[in-house]
Amino acid sequence: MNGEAVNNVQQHRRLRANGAGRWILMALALLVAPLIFNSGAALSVLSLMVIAIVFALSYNMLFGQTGLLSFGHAVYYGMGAYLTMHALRYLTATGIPFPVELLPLIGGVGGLFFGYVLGVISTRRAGITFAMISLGVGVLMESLAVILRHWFGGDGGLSGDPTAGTHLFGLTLTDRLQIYYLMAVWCAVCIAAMYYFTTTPLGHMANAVRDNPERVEFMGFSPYQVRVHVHTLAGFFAGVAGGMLALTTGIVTPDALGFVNSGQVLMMAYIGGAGIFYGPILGAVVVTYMQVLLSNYTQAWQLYIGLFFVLMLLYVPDGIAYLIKIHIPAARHRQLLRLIPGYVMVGIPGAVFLLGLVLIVQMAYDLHSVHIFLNQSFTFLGVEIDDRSPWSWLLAVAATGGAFWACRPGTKRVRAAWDEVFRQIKTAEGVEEEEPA
Amino acid sequence: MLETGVFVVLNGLMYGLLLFLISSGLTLIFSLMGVLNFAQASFYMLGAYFGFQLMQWTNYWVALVCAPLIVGLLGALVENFGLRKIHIRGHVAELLFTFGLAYLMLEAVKLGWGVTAVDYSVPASLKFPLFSVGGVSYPAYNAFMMVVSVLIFVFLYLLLKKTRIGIIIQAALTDREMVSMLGHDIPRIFMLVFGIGCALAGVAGVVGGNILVTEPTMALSLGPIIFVVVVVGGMGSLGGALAASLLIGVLQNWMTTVDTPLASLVGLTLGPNAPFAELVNQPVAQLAGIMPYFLMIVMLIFRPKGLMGKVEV
Repeated sequence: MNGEAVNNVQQHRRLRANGAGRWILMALALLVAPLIFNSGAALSVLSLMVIAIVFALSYNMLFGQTGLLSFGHAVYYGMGAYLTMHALRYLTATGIPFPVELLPLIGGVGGLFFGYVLGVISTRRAGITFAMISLGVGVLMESLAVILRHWFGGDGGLSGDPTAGTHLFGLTLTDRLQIYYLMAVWCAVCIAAMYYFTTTPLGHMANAVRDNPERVEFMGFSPYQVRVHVHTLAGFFAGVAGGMLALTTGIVTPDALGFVNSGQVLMMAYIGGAGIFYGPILGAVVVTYMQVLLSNYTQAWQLYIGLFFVLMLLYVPDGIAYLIKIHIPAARHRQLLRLIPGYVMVGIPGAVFLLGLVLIVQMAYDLHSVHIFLNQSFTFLGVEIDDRSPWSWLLAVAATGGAFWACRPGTKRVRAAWDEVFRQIKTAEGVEEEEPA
Repeated sequence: MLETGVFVVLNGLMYGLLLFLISSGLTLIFSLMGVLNFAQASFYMLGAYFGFQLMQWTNYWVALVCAPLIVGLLGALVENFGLRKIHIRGHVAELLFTFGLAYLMLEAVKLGWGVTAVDYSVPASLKFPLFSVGGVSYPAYNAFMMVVSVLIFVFLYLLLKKTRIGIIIQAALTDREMVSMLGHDIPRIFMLVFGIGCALAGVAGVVGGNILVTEPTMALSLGPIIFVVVVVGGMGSLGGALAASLLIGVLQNWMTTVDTPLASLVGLTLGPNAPFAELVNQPVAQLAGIMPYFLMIVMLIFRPKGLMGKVEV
């Protein structure tokens, strides 16, 4: 009994140490990233990435932690961005000595306000009803932004000059490195605050409301109240992210609160892993990186992101963070070798399948591109392919389908290997087998 | 005044019936399977594009019959090979899957037909004025569209009420497990209903795509309105969806004809600095696009269960 308790305490300490390690790693990554990717364009991408991190984490307060699937979260982001921009313009015009660096806070207050007002209307029910209503509210605000040209600046948006006005610590916000580090500080503060939220009673109530609203009601709490509170706070952090955007780009357009943006933040949170706190951080980094990288090479980049999302949804439903999470204990117990044969058996046909998908998309894209008119040939990975012949299409589809089918034995192998790994870990940690329910 | 009234009502009914064609499929799928098909409007878009393509290759009548069938088949395939796999993970996962699908369909249509609108026009045999009121003529195609929609509903009604398969579907709506116990293949019924629901959207695409515009953004601009229809009508209520469709159709068409600002319509004059001045000083026609969403919010505040819904949303 005593030994077990000691064991538990040790395990707890180890977990906490592990947690601390993760925070230090994150802070280091934020600090060091601009030293490695130090070109001007890369710094802009990094700034967008840290903004996306805050936005995706705020989304996950709703989705992962409270079970509210929103299709309109960009509203709070966009309103935060607009309010920040208005505040910035007001400061520039009147010369009030309020530091520009703190302006995202104004965006946050705006997001908080709209998060509360619209949350009261839309969070009476969770699940599918909330999803539909959030979409309706999102489209309403998006259309309003187009109609109210005075406040939203029409299609061209609203711009301001973040370098003007009063600044903290002698900053000027003139070069991208300064802007990045300012955003990184905001990002770190927001990550810490949102992590702290998960440890508060409200954070725990949010999880309870997600898992079993009836039972929460039975205990005398109102799931609706909890949802409204979380929605308000999520609105705040989305607003801060919007304010960060306004300071980084110096311009805010109605696109910021549009549906496309709402869909993208959903994909970020999901791809990264909504069930784990740091999942959306990974998702934001990966999706932003894909956007930037792919849009350099192909105009079909949105299709690839969509394909990535659907493939993740079908085959890795718990996201990238979950994949990492289960590999850590496996590595600690030296079980990774067991997994390699299965991974190789899936990896090889899987890579062929992905290449086949890319080939099909690129062929379809080429058929509509200017190459056809210029009678230029289509090359894929250095191989010339006649994309106007039905035979190449047939071959491409057959190869892709065949590769997909060939993944099957490998997936079985992987699953069996994981079962064995989990069994080994359980016996190693002395946890008894759970009795079947 | 009278002629505007007639046209507002006729055009509104036409648009409303189109909305109902799409939202009835959504409602049918939702009430049977609990799945909110985010891609419903995307199937409508596919219907329009397939109709356009088939019309290029053959003629309109072949397109009218075949395009919805192809869309329905595609829907059945999606249910069989996609949704069924995720069913076990719950409705939110299913909704996310159809969301991903809608995204992919949009990109696929852009790849296949380009980002600009295609030239999908009304067939020549239906391009004549049916009648005219006060010098304004009413196109025969619009009447044809309404007739097609009504015929589809009669067909659907007979299918649900009078055929064996319809009775099984109805029974499955009430008690899925019991129907399964009686030896009926529930997954196959799911596939069938999902296919029918998508085919209904496909019909709307074929008959509506040439009056409205056939372009890649059509799914995104109509999809949210379909959801509004379902929320305003009451979740899972076919009658409510019909009422809400017609209400939104007629109201929106009426609004597009009114040029006076909203404020002066209710006898208010507001200076430019008054709160909401920019909004209420807009001509009513400008506000037609946001009316459905506004209606939804008003409905949620004052009558959360919708026009004919049974439970509060």
